[in-house]
Amino acid sequence: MINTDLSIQLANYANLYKSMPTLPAPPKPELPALSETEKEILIEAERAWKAYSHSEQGKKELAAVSGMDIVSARQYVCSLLDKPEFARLRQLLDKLDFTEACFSIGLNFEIQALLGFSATLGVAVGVGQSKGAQAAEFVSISLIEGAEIGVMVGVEFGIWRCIPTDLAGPAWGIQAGFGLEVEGTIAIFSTKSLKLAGATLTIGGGAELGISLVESYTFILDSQGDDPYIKPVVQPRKNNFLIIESLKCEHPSNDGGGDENEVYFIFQADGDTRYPYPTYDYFSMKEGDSWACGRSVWFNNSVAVTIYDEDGTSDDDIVGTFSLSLSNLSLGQTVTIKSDKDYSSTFDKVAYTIKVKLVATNIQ
Amino acid sequence: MNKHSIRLDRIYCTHPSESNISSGDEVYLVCQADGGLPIRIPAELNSSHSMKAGDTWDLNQLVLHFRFEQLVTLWDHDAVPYDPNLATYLQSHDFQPGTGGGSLRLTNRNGADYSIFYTYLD
Repeated sequence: MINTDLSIQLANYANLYKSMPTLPAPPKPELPALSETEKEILIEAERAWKAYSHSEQGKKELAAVSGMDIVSARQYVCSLLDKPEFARLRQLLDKLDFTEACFSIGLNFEIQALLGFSATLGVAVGVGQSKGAQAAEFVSISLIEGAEIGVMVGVEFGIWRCIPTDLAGPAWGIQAGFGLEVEGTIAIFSTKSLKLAGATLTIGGGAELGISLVESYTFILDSQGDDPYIKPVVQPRKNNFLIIESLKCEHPSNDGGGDENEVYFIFQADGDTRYPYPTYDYFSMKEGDSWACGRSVWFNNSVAVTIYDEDGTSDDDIVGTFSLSLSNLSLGQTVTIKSDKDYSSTFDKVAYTIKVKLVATNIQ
Repeated sequence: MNKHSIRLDRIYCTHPSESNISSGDEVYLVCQADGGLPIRIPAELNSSHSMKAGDTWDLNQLVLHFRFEQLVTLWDHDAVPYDPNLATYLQSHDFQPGTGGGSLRLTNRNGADYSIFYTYLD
């Protein structure tokens, strides 16, 4: 079972992918021939992976993946190609002579979160004449049926005829053997223009017999850090459910921009993932304004809510903090809660309140 | 386990955001039931519905299902290619179980003034 944070973080990409229209798949392309070097690279990738994953160090590191969130999992994936077991693979990659080429390595996860999907969290580096091109960390998403509840199922290597950042977008693949003597599953991918995009070798997971079509969408992650491009939206199910029905500005802070605050809040259930609301941007409020934000929250015991006034020139200001706990709420009742920290004695006399309704408890 | 359904019929723009008075807002909806996977309307990633004062967006009888609540959020997106960090939050409404139908008005301090017309189905 993988870290819940990672499941949820990956689910946000699946959500974005799901929100896109279903693109008509291009006609099934002719199975293109892989060059001898490409075949050799995939075979060596499998050998190197076996050597690494069976080593004591490899077993230890792979076991630790289950506890990682997306940030630490990305760091781990980026370190894989530098392992000593991959030395010969790196030499082969240097032999590629395509004008544009990159090699990717990623970890596969299968996740069930209302819909089932598989996610590959990986990194692609420029090789051949593209050596030195900007590397790209990515998440590739495929929707699937019958996914497990958050498991790591294998590793995926890819050799691509493009620079790393061009992996972004949809791709269609055909899984087949292609005459390669490997135990993993080979898939040849094409882009919308029907050009050969590359080939992947997946080791572990549900390798399918015969030929099947796969469709995926790749997001380039860029530098996400504490302010990720894709912010968390999907919440894991917990025992109880409340709604922050509204937020009232009793008195705004004076942030130098007048008497209006640019408000957003972060909510965190049981010390888990921090969710912003609005997910992006803010809501402007003046004294006396109420914002019917209607933000639902799943929780077990407690929810921490921190209200911020966005400040474009410096760190955002905290204008209210609230600690909600199951024991202080009554089922079906809406209560008005004041900030834990009293800002009313400060120069600005800042004051915000929230209205919270406990909607359901012990949810099955 | 969805128990309730609501139909969103249309959205009326009384006034777009101040910054888009002449060009209008590029509106899209994000609908999230019970904190789960949201859906985007229109579905296409870079798409939106251009709305100026007096415009109506027919939602083609959009039916949404939920157990406890359905949070409907209006966004204005101008950036191409799509970058959610550059989207502008207009307003939102949280539909909880109910009956009947009607309209509700959503405004913000940036001049946006929209109405959502809805009907509870069950």
